[in-house]
Amino acid sequence: MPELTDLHDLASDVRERVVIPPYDEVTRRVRARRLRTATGGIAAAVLVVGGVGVWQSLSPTAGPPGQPAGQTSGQTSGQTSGQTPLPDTDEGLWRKVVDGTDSHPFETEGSTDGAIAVVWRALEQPGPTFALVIREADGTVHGRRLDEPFDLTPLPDGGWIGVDGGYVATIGTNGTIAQVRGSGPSRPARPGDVFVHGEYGVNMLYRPSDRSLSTMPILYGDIADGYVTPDGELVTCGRGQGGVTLTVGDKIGPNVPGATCVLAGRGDDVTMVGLGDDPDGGIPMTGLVVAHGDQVVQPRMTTMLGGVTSVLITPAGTTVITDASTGDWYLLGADGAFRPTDRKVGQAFLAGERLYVTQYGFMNAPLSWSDDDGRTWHEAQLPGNEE
Amino acid sequence: MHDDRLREVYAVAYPRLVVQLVGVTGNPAEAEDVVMEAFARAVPRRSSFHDADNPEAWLRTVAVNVARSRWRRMLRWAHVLPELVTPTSYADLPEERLALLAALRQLPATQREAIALHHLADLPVAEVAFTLGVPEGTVKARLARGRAALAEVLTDSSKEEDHARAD
Repeated sequence: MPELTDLHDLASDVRERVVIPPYDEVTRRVRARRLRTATGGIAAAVLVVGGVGVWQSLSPTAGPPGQPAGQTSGQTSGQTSGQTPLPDTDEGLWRKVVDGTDSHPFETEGSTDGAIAVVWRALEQPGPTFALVIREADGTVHGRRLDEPFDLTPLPDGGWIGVDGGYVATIGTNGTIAQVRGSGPSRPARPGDVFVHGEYGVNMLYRPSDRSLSTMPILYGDIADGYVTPDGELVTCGRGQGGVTLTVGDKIGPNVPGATCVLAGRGDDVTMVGLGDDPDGGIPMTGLVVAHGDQVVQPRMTTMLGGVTSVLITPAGTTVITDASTGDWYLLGADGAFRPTDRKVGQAFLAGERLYVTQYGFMNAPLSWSDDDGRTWHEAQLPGNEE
Repeated sequence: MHDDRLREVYAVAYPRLVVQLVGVTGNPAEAEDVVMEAFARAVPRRSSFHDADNPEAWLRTVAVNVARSRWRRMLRWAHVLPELVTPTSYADLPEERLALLAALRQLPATQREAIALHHLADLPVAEVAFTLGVPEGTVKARLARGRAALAEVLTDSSKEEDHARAD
């Protein structure tokens, strides 16, 4: 049986086996990034002049204005550029990731207007490659190769805010991408603000009306997650005395056991799920609090999920909590009653009015969607896997 | 000038950083990739890298942050997510070392980072605290909890192996 003291042996075993790649590998990465950035700048200029999405569009009905159906802006730019590197939006580049070695969705998120975004990852040597593929509600697909994956948070009026380390950008469902620069001092939340998990655990509020970021106001406890209601009320949860606490504005709400928490919000409805910190690395569900405006309840639960992958509230007010590690999930109706579930699922997310779930245990499998809170299901391909 | 300095640091620090990040990522292939990414990020950040008192520590912090960012995403899919293909140079790592890496992967991220940087990479507590951006007391607490958790995981793994042999 290995012991803690064996860590030294592990270090020396690894040290003996490290093969230093040529320094050219560093410069190759940097050069590729610079070229892509430069080409992105050119493409952005095209966007301003032509009013056409800079991302490649694969519309099932027609191509962008001025181009034959099936021919894309990315291909045109790449073909006419000679020595110019292909833009990130070239289909060949992002398709290579989607079809790459052991490729799989790394992040999947829906948009309020019905679009779905998938960050794909392929396990190539010498390092993984990433691509973002978006399918709009009308079926139009946009793709882009990425250097690093984004964390995606849906925005109220459609699209997402993406965070990659210190880089923050808005991502439109039509494929446009625009950097959001800097983060200002904290300020009170306003209607329309969006809670964003930033780099190194620093949380922020994004204000779509002026595309600005601000640091979070100082609040009770150690803030783990947040949500801004349509009235501009900031709801947070975090570790406080005796567990994790839901806080609405300056009103400290109920506690549940746990080390951290996750929040979901829709209108004035908010769900907080408490999460533990097991010695074996597990992050089990430890409690549930549901708030409808000022009315806060803690539903009685006989068993908790072993892990929590996603938490959301559907348009009908049903709370959905999934655990991709076991496929188990809960559906808690707006009437406070748990509904039985007849299938195992992975992650759940909302796109428009539809509830989507990924298939349990199969990351590349088609999505299932429901517009009646899981009573009937339909199938849809992952963006990038369209035929 | 900057490039020459980075090349020098690369030649000396690359293997050390990979060793330090192996414990943080729990995977040699991920460790090599995040270290390479840290060097690539140093190139456009000439001034902050050049001004750093300890360039290796600067690179280590960037590499740990890249690893954290990826780990957060992978947590959701730990049971089905394929791993990076491990370079052939690590293919002959002894079983016990692989078991140790597997055990490290089961620790909460904060404990794994502290254990890896202190016990595997031999960094003093103060340097671990600097790398992780937390007070030394926090590192000590994470080390204590991490050691206990690692011992428990390793004991459980050993019991499972014994049961499997008995069956």
